[in-house]
Amino acid sequence: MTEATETMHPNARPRAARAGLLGLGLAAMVVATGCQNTPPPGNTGGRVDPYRSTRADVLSPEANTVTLLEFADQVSEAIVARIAQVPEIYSSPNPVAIELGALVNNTQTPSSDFAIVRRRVFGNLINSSIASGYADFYEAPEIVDPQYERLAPRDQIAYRRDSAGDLTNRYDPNSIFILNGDFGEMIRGRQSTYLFEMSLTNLQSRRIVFNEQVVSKQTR
Amino acid sequence: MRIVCWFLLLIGVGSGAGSGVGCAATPESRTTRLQAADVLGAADDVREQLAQSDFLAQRGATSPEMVLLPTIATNRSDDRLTDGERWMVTAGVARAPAVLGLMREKNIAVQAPPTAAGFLEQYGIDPGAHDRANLPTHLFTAEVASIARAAATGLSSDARALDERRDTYFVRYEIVEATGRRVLWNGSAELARRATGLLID
Repeated sequence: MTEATETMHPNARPRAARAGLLGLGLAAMVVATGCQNTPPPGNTGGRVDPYRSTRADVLSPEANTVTLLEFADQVSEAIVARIAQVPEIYSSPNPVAIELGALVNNTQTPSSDFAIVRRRVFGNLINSSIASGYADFYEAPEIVDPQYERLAPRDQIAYRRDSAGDLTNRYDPNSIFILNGDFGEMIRGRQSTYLFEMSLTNLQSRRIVFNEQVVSKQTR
Repeated sequence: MRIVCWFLLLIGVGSGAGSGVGCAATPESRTTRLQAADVLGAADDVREQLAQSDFLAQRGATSPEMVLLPTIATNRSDDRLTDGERWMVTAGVARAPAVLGLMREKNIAVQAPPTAAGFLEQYGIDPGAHDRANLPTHLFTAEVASIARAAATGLSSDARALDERRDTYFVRYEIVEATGRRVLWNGSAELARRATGLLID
């Protein structure tokens, strides 16, 4: 059939048309492969790996986000590794209570960023079967009390509220260990040296039973 | 010869369209705002964490009944989230059909929020009495937080400073005893968005 066609049209116009079609096909392929960087459906353009530093992280006057994430992971791992060696914790007849404590921020980085770091450590510990074998973790009363007040019936609130005005349970300070964070920064020229520290402190005795430090430098 | 010219011309047009038109439609992101796909993706991850958690594994159909009340997500991020979006964050996990089925198997009742209890009055039921009889024993809380970083990172073609911004979002969920405050389960997801342009835009 092809041969017949070629015999009928010796000026080769159909060959030109076929070549044109082939060219169009190849062009379409080039368009398709050229755009393989197109984000997949679902608005994922602009997404980056949270553990990958960007120029904004390095050059902004605040501490690098990735350093904060890695610090949180390091503290969580250190607590899990050492919780069984803390006499005040392992010798307790019942699991001790771990609650969120204070944040001391002496850096140019917003305190809310360090609150996220502390929250991340807290969350990692809750998920650790080793840590939860030694301790129970309690949400801050400032978070749960208002929820209870908002949701429970009025008469129930009046009944629950104790003389101090608290709605949710309070525990023996001897068995409570609070997760504190201290964050410092020394600035020299374009370089910041950070000292990040997190500790577990007994609420009653104020004795520090665990502490982890990280020193990090950032040049802008 | 003419055929070869046609061929090369078409290839040239095609590749020009590929790099010039097709890909120009996908420039660098100009916003770091949380997108719907981010919320849904985070909910997917956390549902998986909940399904595989020790908290659920230790419960069974004969465990003491738990009444779980999902609460609207707290927004501590730099992004603005409407009430609807904050509910979407919570509901993506706590009210997903697969999670509700799993909860039922573990003798956990998931309650509708009190704001949805107005319908009780329409049927002559006193919501106060209903609340007293169905007080939640546990709360399902959610939170969105973020860390933002921005800096001038170069110059644009018209010699204006180009800025880069990165927002790292943390979406966190908890199941907490309503009066005891003990956290029984915690799930989280994180993601980062990067955008370039002028911050003033």
